[in-house]
Amino acid sequence: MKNNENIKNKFKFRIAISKIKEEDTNIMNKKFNNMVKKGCGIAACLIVVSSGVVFAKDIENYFRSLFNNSSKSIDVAVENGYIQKEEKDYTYDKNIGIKVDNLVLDDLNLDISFNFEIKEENVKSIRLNNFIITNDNEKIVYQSEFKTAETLEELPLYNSVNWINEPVKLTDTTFTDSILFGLRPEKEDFQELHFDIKSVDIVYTDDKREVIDGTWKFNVTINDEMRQSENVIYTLAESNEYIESCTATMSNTGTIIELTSKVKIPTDRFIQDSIFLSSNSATYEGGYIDFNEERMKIHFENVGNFIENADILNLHLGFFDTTVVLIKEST
Amino acid sequence: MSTLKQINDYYKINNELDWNRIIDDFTPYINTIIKNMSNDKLTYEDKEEILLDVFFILWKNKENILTSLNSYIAGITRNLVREKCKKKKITYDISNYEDVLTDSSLDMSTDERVEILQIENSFKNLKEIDFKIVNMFYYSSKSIKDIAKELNISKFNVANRLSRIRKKIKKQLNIGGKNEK
Repeated sequence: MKNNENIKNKFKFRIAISKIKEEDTNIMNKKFNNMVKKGCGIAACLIVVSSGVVFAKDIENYFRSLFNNSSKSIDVAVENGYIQKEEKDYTYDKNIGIKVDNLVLDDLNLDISFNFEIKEENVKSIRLNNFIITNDNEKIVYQSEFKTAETLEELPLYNSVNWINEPVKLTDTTFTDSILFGLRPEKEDFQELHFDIKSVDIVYTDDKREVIDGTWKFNVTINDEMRQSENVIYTLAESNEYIESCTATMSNTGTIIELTSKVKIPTDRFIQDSIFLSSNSATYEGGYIDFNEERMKIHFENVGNFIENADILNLHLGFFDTTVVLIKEST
Repeated sequence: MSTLKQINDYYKINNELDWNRIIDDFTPYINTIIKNMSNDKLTYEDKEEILLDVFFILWKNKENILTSLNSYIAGITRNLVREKCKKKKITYDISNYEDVLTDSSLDMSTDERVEILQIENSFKNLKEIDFKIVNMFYYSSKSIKDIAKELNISKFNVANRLSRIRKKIKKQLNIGGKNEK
C-alpha cells in the first residue's frame, strides 16, 4: 500500500504538470483570440477557457492582494519573490495596533503595506492620517503634513505618492492598506525605515469618520536584497536629430527615462499620449512625465526587470515624430 | 451523454472518477499484464513508468471511455508495454487481455508523456512540502488559504512556492514569454 501511495502522489504530480501546461496554452489562446477580435473585426469564435486559467489567476490574485496600491511592475516583481515580508507584532495605542506587513524597495519605488488591528467591530476602514517616515540617516522619506523645504537637503526622498485605492478589510477586526512612493533618483542608501504615526483615520459602518490621535512608533530594517537590487541601464545607441542624450534606468519596480533635447520640447500641448517604449515583443505606454523645454523625465511603472530584458529598446516620441534607439549597457 | 456512464459507480465519487480506488484496484492487474507480456524483463523503473502512464492516459481519455474500465486499462497497458519493449528490444507476448481496444481509439499522448517525464526527472529533488502543495493546488483544486491552513504554514509561503515551481515547469515547457502588452 505504501507503494500505491507513492504511485498516487506521482500520478497527481503528472496531472499538475499537465494542468500548468494547459493553463498557459489557454491564456495564450485567449489573448490571441482577443487580438483577432480587435484587429480584424471578424466575429471570433471564442475559445472555451478551461479551469486551467483559474489556477494561474488564483496565484496572481494572491500576490496582488498584498499591496492594494501598487503598479504592474511591482506586482510582477512580487510574484517573482521580490518582496520583504515582516513578521513583527503590532504596536498598540488607543486599542489600535499597526505594523508593516510587506515592503518592496529599490532605487525608484517604495511600496509599503500596513496592517491594522482594531477591537471594535463596527469599523468600515482605517488608514494612516498624520505620520512621518524617516530613515536611519535622519532623512525624511515621506511626511503627511506638507512643509516647504528650504534646501535640497530638506527635500523628502519621495517625489510621488499612489494612495488611491481604499484599505481592504481582512477580517472583522483587521485591515490592510498600502502606499506606493516614487523615489527621487538622488536618494541615498539607507538601512532602516522609522515610522512615527500620530493619528489614524477611521470610517465606521454608519459612514461616520473619526481621527484618533495616538503614538505608534516602530522601525523596519531593510534586507540586503532590497538594498542591493541592481538597475539595468540603457543609453543612446545612435545619434538622433532631436535628442542630445537619453538614458533609461530599469529597476525591479519600474523604469525612468531621462533625456535632453536639441530642439525645444513643446510645453503648450498634451504630449503624454504620444510617448511609448517598445522592445521586440511588447509595447509600454508612458506614465507621468516631468519636463521643460530642454529636458524630460518619463516614468514607466508598467515595465521593470522582471518584465523586460531586451538588449534594445525603442522610445517613440510622437511630438517629435521620432524614435530613439537605446541599447543595454554591458555589465 | 456522459461517457462515465459506462463505468461502474464503484469507481466514481461525486460524478468524477475515484482515482484512489482505481489506482488501488488496478495496480496489481496492470503489473500482472506488464510482467506476463514482457516476460518479466523490464526494470522496476520501467514498470513504474508504465503504471503511471496507464493512469495518465486514462485520465486524458476519461471522457471517451466507451467500454469497461478493465478492457480500457488492459488496452492502454498492452500498447505501453509494446512501446517500451520495442524501445528496449525485448520480446513481448502479444496475447490479448479481455476485450482490448485497437490502437487508433486511444489518445496515447506520447509527446506530452515524454515532456512530462523530462520535467518529472528534473524535479527528483523537490522537497516533500513543495510536492504536497503542487498536488493540493492543481490536482485537488484546493485554495491557497485552505492549503496554508492544512499544512500550517503562511499563505505567502504557499503562494511563493507555487509561483516558483510553476515558473520552473513553464521554463522547461518553453511556454509563455517574459513580456506583456
